[in-house]
Amino acid sequence: MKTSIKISVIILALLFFYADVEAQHRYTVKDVPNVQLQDYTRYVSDPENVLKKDNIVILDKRIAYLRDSIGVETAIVVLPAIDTGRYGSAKEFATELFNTWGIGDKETHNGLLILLLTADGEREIVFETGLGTEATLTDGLSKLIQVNKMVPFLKENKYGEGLIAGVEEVEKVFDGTSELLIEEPFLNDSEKLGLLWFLGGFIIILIVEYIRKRRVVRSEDPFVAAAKYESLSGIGCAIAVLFLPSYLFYMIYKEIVKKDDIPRLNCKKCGAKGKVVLKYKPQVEQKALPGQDGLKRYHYICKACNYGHKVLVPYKYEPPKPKSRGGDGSSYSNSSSSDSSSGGSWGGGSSGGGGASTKF
Amino acid sequence: MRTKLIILFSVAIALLLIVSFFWGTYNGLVKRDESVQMAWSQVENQYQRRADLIMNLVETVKGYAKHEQETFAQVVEARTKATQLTVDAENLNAETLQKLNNVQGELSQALSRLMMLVENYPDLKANENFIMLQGQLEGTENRIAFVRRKFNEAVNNYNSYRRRFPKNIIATMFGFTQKEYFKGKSNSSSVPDVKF
Repeated sequence: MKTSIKISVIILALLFFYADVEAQHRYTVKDVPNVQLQDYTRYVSDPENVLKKDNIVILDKRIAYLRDSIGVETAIVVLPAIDTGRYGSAKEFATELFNTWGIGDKETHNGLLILLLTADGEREIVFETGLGTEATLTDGLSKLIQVNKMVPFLKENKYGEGLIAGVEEVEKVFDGTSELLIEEPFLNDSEKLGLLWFLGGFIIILIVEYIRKRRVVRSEDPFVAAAKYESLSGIGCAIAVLFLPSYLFYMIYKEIVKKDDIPRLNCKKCGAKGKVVLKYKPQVEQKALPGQDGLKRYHYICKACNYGHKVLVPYKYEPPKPKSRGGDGSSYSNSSSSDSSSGGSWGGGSSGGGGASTKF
Repeated sequence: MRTKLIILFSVAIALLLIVSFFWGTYNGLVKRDESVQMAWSQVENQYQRRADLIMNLVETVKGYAKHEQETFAQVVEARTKATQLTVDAENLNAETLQKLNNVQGELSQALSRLMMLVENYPDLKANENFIMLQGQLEGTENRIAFVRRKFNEAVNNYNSYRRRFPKNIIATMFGFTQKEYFKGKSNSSSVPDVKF
């Protein structure tokens, strides 16, 4: 009996000893608990419980929002120190951890890892950006966020607040409202980009106009032609908005060249030229079914003599768009994902070493 | 008659096996060789990016620290030397890699002298452009370290594939030689931290 007590005391002592060693030890990538795998609603790995519970809740919510709305997959890792014998820098550690976990989507590489080291003399904040993320959240911006938004908190040991401020600013960077989005000092390509936009828009307009005209030429009936021309005006409108300068230039160009050969309808009754306009929106005469074109009725009217022209134009069947997941509130919807304790996973994204780090 | 046929048949099969082995090995070597060259082009890209950023950094710092002409001149000179040395992926030998390490190392040193100056100019340190540039530059150093690791991995993959018997015979026949690794530190910690 006595010996068994002794043994258990020794075992307990050993356990405590090991726990102590665990607490002291410097982390390698493998030691960091991957919380996302245990519970898909958690993104903050804080094995030493440095952060306050309510701060973690806020961070998890923020990051979930970031993932759902902007599509950036973020992980936060808070450690005392890393195994500096194995990793040349905290940044190197972060790159390896990022790629081991595969944060972000496999296709878009939209991951972000925020690593915070808190031991004295090792205090550092690191951003590791995925290959997709680094285009928006550049190394420079990462640095600026760290220095201007996070370090002031972190310096006073307000780790939770610092991280929240950082995540908030990242959010702003991605929705374009961040005050830090000053023009990058070395990117003088914006002028080229503008020119490209203008020229590209012009070319696209020419192509669309060409297609519209070709459709018109191919049909015999001028009314059908006009209707078909009309049916593409949605695209034309979108392009006009997207490439407004190019569109304006195109209008001027058309005025100068005077090659305005869009179909002008002549009235069948009074023969007035270019006076016939669409009176109503096209009405569906016969619904399109899979494998069978439908018919739309176009109702034109001559502005000179009020003579109405009616044309039936076939249109193609379009399959309905699939409903977005969980979009409607049907109470019988498959709710397998509502189990809050089920494990999630990172998407398999990778990083090319982008990001920034700041000691404080 | 029958034995002849069998012999003919087995010779044909043996030939087929040898040819397919040659085929597979050759393609394997080409594939690994290409991934080494790809990795090398990444290394060059990052060094180029660093050289571009350094010019911007010098311009920014110049605006604040007008009296440090000597340091600026050193950086610009080191940068010119570094950009003049382009190492083709085809002739990556120990000598050229060492040369590259040297010129890039000199540039890193000149750069770190420049960054040390910054501590004397608090206005510059707080300038957003400067912080951004510093972030980009540090990022580039990290990327350099990263692509160098990747390059060494690719070289290792190639070398260990090439060295194994009997692939090494084919490799020698077609002139696939052993490739060199990057040695020494990548100077990734060459930009001293400006304490914020």
